[in-house]
Amino acid sequence: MTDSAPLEVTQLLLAWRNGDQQALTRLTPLVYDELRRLAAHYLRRERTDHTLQATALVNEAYLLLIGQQHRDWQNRAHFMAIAAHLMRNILVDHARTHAAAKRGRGAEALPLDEALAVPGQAKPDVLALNEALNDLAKHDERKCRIIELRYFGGLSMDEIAEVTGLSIATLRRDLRMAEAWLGRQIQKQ
Amino acid sequence: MTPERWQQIKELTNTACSLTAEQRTTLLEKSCARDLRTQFGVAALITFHEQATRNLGGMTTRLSVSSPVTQDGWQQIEQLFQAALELAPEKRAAFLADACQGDEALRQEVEALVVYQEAAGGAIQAAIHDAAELLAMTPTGFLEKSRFAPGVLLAGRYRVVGQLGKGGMGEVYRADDLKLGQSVALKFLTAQLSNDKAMLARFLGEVRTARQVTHPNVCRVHDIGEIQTDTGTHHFLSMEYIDGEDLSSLLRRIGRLPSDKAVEIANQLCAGLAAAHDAGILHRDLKPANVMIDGRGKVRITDFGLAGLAEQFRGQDVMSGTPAYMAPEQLAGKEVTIKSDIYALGLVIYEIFTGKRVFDASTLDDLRRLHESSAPTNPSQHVKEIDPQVEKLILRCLAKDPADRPASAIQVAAALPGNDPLAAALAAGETPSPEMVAAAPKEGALRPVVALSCLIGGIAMLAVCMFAAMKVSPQNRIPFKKSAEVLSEKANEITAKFGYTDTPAERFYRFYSDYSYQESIRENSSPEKFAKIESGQPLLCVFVERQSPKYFDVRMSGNGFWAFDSQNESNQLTIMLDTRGRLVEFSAVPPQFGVGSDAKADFSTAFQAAEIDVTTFKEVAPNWTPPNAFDERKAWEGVMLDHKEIPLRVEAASFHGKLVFFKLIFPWTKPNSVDAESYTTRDWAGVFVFFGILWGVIVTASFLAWKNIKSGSGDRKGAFKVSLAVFVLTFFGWFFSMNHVPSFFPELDRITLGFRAALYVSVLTCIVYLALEPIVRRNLPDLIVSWNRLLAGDWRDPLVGRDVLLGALVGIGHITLIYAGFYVERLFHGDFRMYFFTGGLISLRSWAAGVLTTAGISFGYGFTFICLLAVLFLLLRRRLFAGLVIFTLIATIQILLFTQSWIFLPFTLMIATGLCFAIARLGLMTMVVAQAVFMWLEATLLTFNFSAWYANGMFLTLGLILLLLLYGFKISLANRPLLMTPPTYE
Repeated sequence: MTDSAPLEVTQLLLAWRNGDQQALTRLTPLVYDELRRLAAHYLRRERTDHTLQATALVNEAYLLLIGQQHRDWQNRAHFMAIAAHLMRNILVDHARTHAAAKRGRGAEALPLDEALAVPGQAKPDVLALNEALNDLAKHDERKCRIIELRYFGGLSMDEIAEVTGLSIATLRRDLRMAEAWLGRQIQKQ
Repeated sequence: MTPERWQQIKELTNTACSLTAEQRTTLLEKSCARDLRTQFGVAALITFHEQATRNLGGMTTRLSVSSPVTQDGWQQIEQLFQAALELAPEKRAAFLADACQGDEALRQEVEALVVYQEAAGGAIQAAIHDAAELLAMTPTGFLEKSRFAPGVLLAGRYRVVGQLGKGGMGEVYRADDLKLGQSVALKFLTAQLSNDKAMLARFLGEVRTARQVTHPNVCRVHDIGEIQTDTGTHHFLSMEYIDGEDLSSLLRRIGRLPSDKAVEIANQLCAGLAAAHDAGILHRDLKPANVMIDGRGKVRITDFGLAGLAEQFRGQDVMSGTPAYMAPEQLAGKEVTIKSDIYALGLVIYEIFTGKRVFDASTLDDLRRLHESSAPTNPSQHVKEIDPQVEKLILRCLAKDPADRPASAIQVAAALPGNDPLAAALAAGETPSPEMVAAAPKEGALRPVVALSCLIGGIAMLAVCMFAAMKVSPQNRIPFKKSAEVLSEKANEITAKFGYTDTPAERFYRFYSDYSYQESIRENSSPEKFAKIESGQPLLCVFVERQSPKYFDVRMSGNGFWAFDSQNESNQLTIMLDTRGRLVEFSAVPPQFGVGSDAKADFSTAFQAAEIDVTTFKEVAPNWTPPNAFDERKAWEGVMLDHKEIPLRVEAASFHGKLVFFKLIFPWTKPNSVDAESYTTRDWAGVFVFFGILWGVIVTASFLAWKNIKSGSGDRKGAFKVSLAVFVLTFFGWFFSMNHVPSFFPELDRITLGFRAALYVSVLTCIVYLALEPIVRRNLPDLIVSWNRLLAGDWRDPLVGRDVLLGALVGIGHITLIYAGFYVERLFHGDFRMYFFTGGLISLRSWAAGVLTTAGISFGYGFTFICLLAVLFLLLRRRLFAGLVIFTLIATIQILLFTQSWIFLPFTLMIATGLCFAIARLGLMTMVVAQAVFMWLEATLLTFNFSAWYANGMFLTLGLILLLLLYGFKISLANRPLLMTPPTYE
């Protein structure tokens, strides 16, 4: 990431806000790289407590990419919108790689009968969430985006409103429907 | 989850919802008692159902398979859902029933959404949080771009398949080794590490050592290589590629392992770790993530020794590795030892068996605090049915004090259920390693009542011993009130009267036993004759002081002990007093040069010193030649002062008016033999046989030792430790026993002699230990279990405690039986024999000398007996027979040397039985302690007269033995309470 990056990202963000879809295509890889770098950085630094706040990561990425001087909250919201989706990708990719690694490395041949182990409390899995989100997008794309912004990006309702151009009331209704549906869906799986 | 199971869960839930709580339990137990998953699923759904009932204001909910929702349906559902949520909870049910107009599926769908709406936000957040955590916990390098893309050919030999992960040291790739056609793992060092020359050198060193470990449970390191790219030099390590999963992710995936699998994995872990420790390599960062399990369930430990490197590399950030798996001493930055790896092993085994981490904390400080001071939760609190043996083992591994942990990974393995590597090795006809022997599943803990009986028995026997000693020991019979210091003062007064007034440069004094009287009456003993000694004359013990104007020359006598050279220098003198301080003998060397006077000596001074009235003696012709130059000699005859019926002769001589010789001659005093030594063929034959045997033993032992070292069966570490101990004991025993002088060469001579003596004994010990110990280990390993545990530093092992306690008991019993035998003999025969050791009487220093030297020797005795048993066992193939031969041998020697009447015979047999039992059943540790305790007590003047000047030495010895007893008692209890509280039943 060069020094000109904040400026570049800010300009791209502005362009995207003004409706330039090309800007988004150029912006995404920049943000993605930064997020990956940051996540790795976090891992090294925070290995002792084994927690990684996805939203904190996105925030940090924003500060680094945009810089202090160009901060305004609308900008942030738009940035977050991209980051949120990317964060979802990162987490899901990783979980999937991990699961694949388990399956792919001859887990079936392992003489350890999984069934014998006492099952831990079934936690909602990010892969299940991802599938549910994909399903949700089939019914209602908008709700899926809102969930991403809210949960993967950690955006406030105001920020989501800024990015999506929806009223807060609509957002609330969308959000609770989406949450309920996802919750139900995850449970089903 | 299979559709069948889901169906089953739903059906069960629907049935269960209409039942009472008790009925539900019965139903669940009947229908899915063994299927925990189904049970769990049903329970979860029932909870949901109950929540839903509350949430929807009394509306009953049944779960059904949801039908695919159409786009129209979706909108309808959302409308109803949003509308229902606007209402108060208790009104929702009625609203939905009305609004759905009989569309049951729609109503259920919306109701379910209303139910889930509350908790859904949390569930989503949890899913994301978990994913982030997963990301954080697996440093797979997923997030960083890899240095080498798949397909790249490295060093002309390795084709990169993909990146496997990223660790503290750098990235790891899977690659195909094109030369060998094998998969390998390539571990690249970080750029920083590659650029640091010193670190690189250390890295190479570590790899060199790690390469020596070839064990199926240790990940093989193949080679080191480097490649040049446009970004610089990259160093890498090629290793065995393991197609499997690491333990950390396995545990995360399936929770804990079933106990038989857990034991299997733990066994392999121990084996791998032990192999590395054997090669002198510590892991330093053992953790589940460093344990790979391949497709066939085989365990490989990875990253040996590399963690230490990474730590050093990180410098101040030492702990950033994996503090969750570090021993307290490691966290504290103290020395890392095998025991630190054992701690980590304990943590890993804990996790395998319970699926839980022992300590988990969010900050390093918390973690350090937990490891340092908080006791781990008992594994049985996580998993009720865990084997208590495993639990005990885990907790022992996790002891805060490294000394409390098992001494080796093999010991850990041995304590795992179903394991006895020793028995396995013996069955396979192999010589078990000392670690295996130490790890034998032999419990030494004594029941509190037994341990206490041993302790009390030992103390009681000491009392019996002292009682018998009061009756038969010379110190309690003859006048023995003056200490060596007092007698030395008296001796100096006397020599001053003889005209020897110069302060000597060095003096040396001690007590000697005088056996001449005892021997003279042996053939014709009577109680009256022994009663005579109570006056102090005839002599049983004399005080001897030697003085020299120059420091003494010290020479080593043939048996390895030191001695002063004989008296031959000018102005050296020797004075001998009886225990009351009366002159017995005197001799001085006149100066080599000088003009003497014609003065006549006044022999009456000498008579005064001897407290003899010269007037009662009549002069006779002298017939005992003085040892030194003289110009006048005289002799007198009279009777002994204390016993008028015994004749006494006095011989004296002077030179230039100064007394140079004075000697009391009793009827039993014999002149030194005057027969010339005549060498016969028989003498030569004797010498040849003796030295032939000696050299035969040394050469055979050396050969055996060399062979054992070559074959690897000799216990090199053990031999080193034992011979070092023998060296230290012998050297310091000598050091304390010897006069030290402030002059360089005389002191150098002395130190060299002590060093030589200690070296001689310790080298011999080392050779014999290397040669013979494997025979014991292979044939009678149970006899050296506690010994090997002690050698491994495990002095808190209950078995060590037990053997020390029993050894002290055998030693005390041995000496007690001898004293008791003497006492009984005396009751029947009057006085017969006496025991009088006067070696360590002079001072605290000489006491310490005696104790140390004796301790050094006791190993030799104990070991000789055990080896003898092992050799006999080899010949006779039965331990009973070997034991019987040893018994016969000991009894015969005892009878030939010490038993002079049938009264003593039972005592002899009891001693032989006790020793035999100790040799054949209890083993080396017991025998060494027994020998030491026996010899300490043998050399101690026992008395109940606590104000006697020699009582201090006795107190020290008794205190030392009491300490041994208490140590053995305490340790053999293995922390069990002395008073058992009866178990309470509920």
